[in-house]
Amino acid sequence: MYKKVTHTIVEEHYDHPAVLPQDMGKDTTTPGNYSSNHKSMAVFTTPEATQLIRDSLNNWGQLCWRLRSLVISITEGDKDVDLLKTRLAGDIDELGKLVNKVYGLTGADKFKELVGNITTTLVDVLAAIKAESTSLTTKLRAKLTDDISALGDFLGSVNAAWPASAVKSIFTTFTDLHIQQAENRIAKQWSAGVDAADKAYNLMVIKQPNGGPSFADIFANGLISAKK
Amino acid sequence: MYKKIVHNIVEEHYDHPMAMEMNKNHNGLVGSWPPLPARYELTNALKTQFSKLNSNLRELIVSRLADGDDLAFIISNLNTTASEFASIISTYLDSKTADTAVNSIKSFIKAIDDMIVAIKNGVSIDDIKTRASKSFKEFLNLITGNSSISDLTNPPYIDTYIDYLVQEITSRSKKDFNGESKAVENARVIIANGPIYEAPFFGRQDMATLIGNIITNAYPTKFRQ
Repeated sequence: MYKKVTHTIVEEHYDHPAVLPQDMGKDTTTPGNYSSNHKSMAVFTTPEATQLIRDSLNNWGQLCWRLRSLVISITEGDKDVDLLKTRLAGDIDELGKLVNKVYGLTGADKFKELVGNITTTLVDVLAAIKAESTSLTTKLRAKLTDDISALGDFLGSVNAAWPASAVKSIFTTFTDLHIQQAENRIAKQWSAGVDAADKAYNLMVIKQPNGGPSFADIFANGLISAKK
Repeated sequence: MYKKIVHNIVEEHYDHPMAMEMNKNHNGLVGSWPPLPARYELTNALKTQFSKLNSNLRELIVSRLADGDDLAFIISNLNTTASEFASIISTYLDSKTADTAVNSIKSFIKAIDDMIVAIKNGVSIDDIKTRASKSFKEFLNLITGNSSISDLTNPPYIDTYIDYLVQEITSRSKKDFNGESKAVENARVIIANGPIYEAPFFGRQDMATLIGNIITNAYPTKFRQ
């Protein structure tokens, strides 16, 4: 048997910031479909860029770990919830320092405010779930959606590598996974809770379910491309 | 500038007994398949796995001290996390060595669990700390193919990491949550979230990164740059 297979591979290279929006028309609203192939997703290897990527991974990883600790403490009724909330604010400050390097204090403060709103509301949702307050949970979840939208709109407006739809989709999935963790723990479904925690961590730090970059990578690459 | 490049690749598959003869003028290079993992992929995998181990140990501390309902699951989950190291190790070592290494890290986990119980009961932990340190060093010796791990013993990464775990346990058992939180953060930095700025590390890489470097230097043919 003789078989002939022909592959056609098309490379598209963009080199001007104004060209980037051409690549943003793809569907990034479907969970797991956030990957982007424009120039800003390229791997940069300068020492400063490498450090930024590492700091992004470490700091988003730290935030994931803190939220996981909060899920456990809230659902178990532990006494360290307030302390963990304070430390969570510190984790967001560390992320803000990365934003500050590119967008200055004003940009960093806005970023910290918007991420802080999301985590604060998420923690309130978790507490409402623990308190079995359905009406409050519903109300807070609506606020969480608004908070996520605000972050997505802000990031999308300042950096083409952070499309608003992708940011909103990632953070919606991320927060949903934390709500699932709380619900699973309260139902003593420990395995499902850990599974949701791993998925949340992977989405933020490792990679997306479709193999696309994690949010920490997207975040770092956006900062690097803006700094160039 | 916008640039578009189109590649047309033609594969020709021959199934004839003389196919090789027919194809000899192609003289193509034969590459390895599946492709070798990259060095950074090993380091990333180690960082992820050590980070997961550290988070799981913190959950064990919280649950063991509180006699949590999830204790049995957490111990089982920790053993799963330990077993997951095998898939990383078996990319460059044989599966028997990988299994032995997994047993060593499980012994380390057991020692930490015994340590939590001892601290909870006000019993000396000296012997248990020695056992934990020995198991961890055994694990590192195995996964590095008995390469020198002197970079991990001077400065003392392993013992410092265990000391932070002890601080986590003692602080939480005294409800000193601030002290516990600081110990958890320091433990994370040492094991997988470096660089470590505190003395005596002064900006050195975290343990997972160093282990990755030791392994890729010991097995250069098993990883691509």
